[in-house]
Amino acid sequence: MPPSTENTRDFESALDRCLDALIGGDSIESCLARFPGFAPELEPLLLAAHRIISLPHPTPSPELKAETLRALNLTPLSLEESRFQDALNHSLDLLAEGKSIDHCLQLYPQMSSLLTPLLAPASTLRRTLQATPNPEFKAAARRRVLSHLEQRKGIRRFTLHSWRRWAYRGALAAAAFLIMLSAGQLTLRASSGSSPGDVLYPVKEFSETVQMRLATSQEDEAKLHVELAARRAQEVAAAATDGDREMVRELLVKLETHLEEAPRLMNEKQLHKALDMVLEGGGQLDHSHLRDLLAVLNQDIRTNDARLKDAMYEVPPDMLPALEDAIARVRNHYSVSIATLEAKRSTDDLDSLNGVRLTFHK
Amino acid sequence: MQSEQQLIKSAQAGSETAFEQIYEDYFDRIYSYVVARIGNRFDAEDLTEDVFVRALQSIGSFKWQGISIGAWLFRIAHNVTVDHLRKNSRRQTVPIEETVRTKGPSPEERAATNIAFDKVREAFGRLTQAQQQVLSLRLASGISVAETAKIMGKSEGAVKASQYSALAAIRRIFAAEYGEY
Repeated sequence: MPPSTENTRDFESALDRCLDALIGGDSIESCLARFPGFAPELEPLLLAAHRIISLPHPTPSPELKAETLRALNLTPLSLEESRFQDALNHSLDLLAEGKSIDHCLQLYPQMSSLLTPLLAPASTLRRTLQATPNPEFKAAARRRVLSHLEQRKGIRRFTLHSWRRWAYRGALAAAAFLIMLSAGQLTLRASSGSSPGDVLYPVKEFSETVQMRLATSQEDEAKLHVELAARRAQEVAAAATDGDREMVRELLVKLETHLEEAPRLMNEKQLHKALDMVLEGGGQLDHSHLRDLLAVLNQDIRTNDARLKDAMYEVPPDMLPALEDAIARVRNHYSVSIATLEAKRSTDDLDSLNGVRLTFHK
Repeated sequence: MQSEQQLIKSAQAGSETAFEQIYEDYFDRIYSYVVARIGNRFDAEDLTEDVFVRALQSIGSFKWQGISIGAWLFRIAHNVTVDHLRKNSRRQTVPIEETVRTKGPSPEERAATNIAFDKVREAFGRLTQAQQQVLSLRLASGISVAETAKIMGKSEGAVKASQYSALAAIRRIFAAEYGEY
């Protein structure tokens, strides 16, 4: 028979009282004797509760307790404690400057018995934890970080000053024309399949720069960034196969920059369109370019993933962790780009307009 | 020599020289901090680079409000390492010893050093995250208490208390497990 609500309430009340009694030190038997009607149901629960209550309770260390109380400003430091912590702190600074433990102890002779057991492990820890970067890595990382700056500066320059952009495009187009005449289209074609380190790779890089500068709209630039990101992913696989860890890093930075630029450009474009619509008094945002770009990105994320995974069978064993990280980073950056563009597409046209109107009224 | 405020302004304006100086001033200490926190040099190289790439991307939003550029960089480094540790909590990593101490005077001496090194890393890993952070900043990167307090968002008194309790905990572990100190 199912228990009535009243019965359940009585049982819960009996259980509460028994638990209080158990915590207070009563035995299970005395609790059961007080509620004989519920004894069969109460007994297994009280046995389990008794086991939990009997478990040893962890106690915090005295230092942790003292530190917590101090953090809560509940107990001010005694003068001795305060002096000792200052002495310890000063000694740690001196150790960092390269001074010896003996030197520190000579400065605080009255506290040496307290300081010694802490300074000895501190000195060991300092020696263990300190690390100096490999100079070659540091120089290569500097180049990569600063190349990020250069890319961003370049992008900003061309976005802000459109007249200079067109003038520069013209110059580049002329330069490209001259190169095509002198080096021939065959060289350009041959360079398209080159990998970093190949003789023709600089030609490929130059032709990409020219392509980027010649892009006539932000949509075209965004598409090109996506295309170049896919090329970099292909090169990552090749560099990993060659065991070139530094090159993998450099290419990943480039790939990530391309994938950051595509949504940024589309976002700027959508905002300009929304602005035009407000000025013209209505209309609808065209999401077709966004849709196209998303389709390419969704295709590329799968293709690149498969290509990089294939490379796992060919890379030297010590490159495997780096390649695994590269796969995760490429996947992650593609996903972020896709999510950013999806969010843009799902934004209602009206919302975009309202956003622009609000900006105007401010 | 530019003041730090001027340096930040120049870096925000896109000056390569200014950012390069920030890089030179802090790279080694950030790297040492990251190695101390994650215990793996290969990953630490990537993460340190990531710290500076992120710094470069967001230096425009850095506001001069009493917090130094160093404290700001160490906060980025802290976030980057915490993210990394969270992501890799179940992944096996290359122990630091395999990547750090590959050159030693003799195999015997190297073996002896390795044992001590492992003990120290193991004991260090048993500290709380906050204790690890304070000792990494103070001992691995040589950051002052005042700066450490700014990085951790605590008072100087709390940092001093924290480094004391962390060293006391390390000493207890050494004494209990290895009979040292």
